[in-house]
Amino acid sequence: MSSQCISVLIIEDNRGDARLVQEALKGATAPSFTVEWVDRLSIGLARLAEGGIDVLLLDLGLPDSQGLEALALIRALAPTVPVVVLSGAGDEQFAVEAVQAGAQDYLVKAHANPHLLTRSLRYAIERKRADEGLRESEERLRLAMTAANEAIWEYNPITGYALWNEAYSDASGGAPKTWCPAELGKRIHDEDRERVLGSLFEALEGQAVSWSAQYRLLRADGQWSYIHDRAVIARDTTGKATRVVGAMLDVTSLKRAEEALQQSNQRLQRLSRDLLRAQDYERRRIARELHDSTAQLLAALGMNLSRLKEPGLAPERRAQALSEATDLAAACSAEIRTVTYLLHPPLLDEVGLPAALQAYAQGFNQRTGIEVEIEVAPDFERLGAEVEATLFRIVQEGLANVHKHSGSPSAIIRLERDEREVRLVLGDRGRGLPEALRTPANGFVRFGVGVMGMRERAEQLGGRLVLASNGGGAKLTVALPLGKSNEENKIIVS
Amino acid sequence: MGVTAELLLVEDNDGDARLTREALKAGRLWTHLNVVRDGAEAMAYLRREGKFIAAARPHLILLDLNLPRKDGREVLQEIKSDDDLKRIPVVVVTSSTAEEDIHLAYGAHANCYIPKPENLNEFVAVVEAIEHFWLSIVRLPSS
Repeated sequence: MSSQCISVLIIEDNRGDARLVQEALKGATAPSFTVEWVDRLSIGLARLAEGGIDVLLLDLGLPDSQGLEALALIRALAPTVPVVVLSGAGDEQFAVEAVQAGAQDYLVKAHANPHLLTRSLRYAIERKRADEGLRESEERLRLAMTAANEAIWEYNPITGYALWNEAYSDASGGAPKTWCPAELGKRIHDEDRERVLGSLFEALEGQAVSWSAQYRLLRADGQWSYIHDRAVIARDTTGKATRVVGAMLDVTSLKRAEEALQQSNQRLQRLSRDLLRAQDYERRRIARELHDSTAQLLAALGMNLSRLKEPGLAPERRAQALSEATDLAAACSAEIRTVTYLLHPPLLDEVGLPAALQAYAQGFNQRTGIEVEIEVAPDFERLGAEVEATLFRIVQEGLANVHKHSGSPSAIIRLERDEREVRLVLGDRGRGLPEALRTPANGFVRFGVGVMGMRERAEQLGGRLVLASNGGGAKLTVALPLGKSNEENKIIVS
Repeated sequence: MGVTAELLLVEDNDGDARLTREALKAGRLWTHLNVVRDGAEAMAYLRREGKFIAAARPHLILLDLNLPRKDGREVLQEIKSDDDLKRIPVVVVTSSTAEEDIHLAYGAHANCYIPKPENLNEFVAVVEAIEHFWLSIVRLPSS
């Protein structure tokens, strides 16, 4: 269509009426009209199919069709052509129905003057174009929402009625287009319903201008969808909610991926914990084996020594038994020393950390002469086995370093806990972190495998290990989180 | 000289940062790795601005060249033209092997230029070598 010339097709069986229209349009300029006339619907449809028609004038009383049927056919075959319906004076009601059925306008033939006719045709073209634009943008929105798994709903808190668009029906599986909140409520998962509807009505009654929730919604196919629902609440000047428009996003696949990720993370955590437990088990096994073998060595030593008590033993035999006994004692001591570190403290499982530390400190004091003071609340409860074992080994390692490097006459261990974590502080009054532990060039501290392993372990339990040095000695602090992992550890114990 | 070797890593790739951390952990040196993700953050850290008010002065800086916000080349220039900061050794670790970048880096007084290895084991070996050379063998200035 050019703006200067509009092509009009008239489908009208009455030659006189058609002539009237042609005459009326003849005088018009800017725009001018070219008019084609056919007297049968079938011919008109064929002409429309060829294209080039800007607007159609349709008589509803054609010989080869019945009223609205003609309109329906035209709209189906040439949906983009605007239609103005021509009606006789008696059937104006009929014309109104035609407009409701998709015609852009109607004209009562008796009133059709050039001015009215021109205006009506131009108006029909403009309106059709606007409708097309709206339809297209709606289509785009629908496609976009389908592509994004989104659906739109609208709720009127005053009337209590709600609407959802077709995409919404698709997303929720053929739900009705109109519902009351109770109907939607039925589709929400039992465990989510109260929370979701409660929060929505709370938002409506309050001052909120937006609302969002996540919940499970039953689809028509019986499957549950995870929905992320966000809504905007419009309010009138008094703050009363008048309209709620929401967008639902189907996040089922996202949610599933998230769950899978969570599960695999948990598996990974379990795996690494299992690994540590296997290590512990190994240590216990080694301890038992060592005990068994040293016990045998000691039994042999005892036998040798009792032979020495025999009065009539030949001097060369006596010398041999004595030498054997010395060897056995040396073997025993070597075996015990080399694997002392690996020994699982047998007391720990039975009496708990404070008592096991007390016992260890006593033995340490006897071996080294270093006084160890342990500060711990009398009602210090049991921790998880892993936490207790880790703290015990850190003390073992730490005290060994105090002995080897600090020159301190004493050490103090403070053990405290709150709801969140347990903290252990090991301090001495020695020369601080000694040269032996420092790098030659810059004095950075370098630790033995033992402490580095402990730090690694503390980090694996979600904790931290800090070493500090000041004028008054060195201080080792370790903090391990309690709570959930603690519970799990208890289960592992049993 | 304190107990802990403080390192500043300027690296926008989380994977490389993680790898560096793990490689340092495997060593026995008591290191503390601070990671910032772009050049602007690096300068803020070094100047103790904003959230870095309590930041520890690093003994060594590991600097990537290709960074968001402020480029690593600019960061290097700024560090080396600051009377105080220029004493901190800067190890450029970058995936760029452009002759121009190497030239530019040494021209701006980078302390050494290390091409970032693609291979995982080589990467770990490089971090260990940095730790060994720069923190154990080299005598650093006291701040």
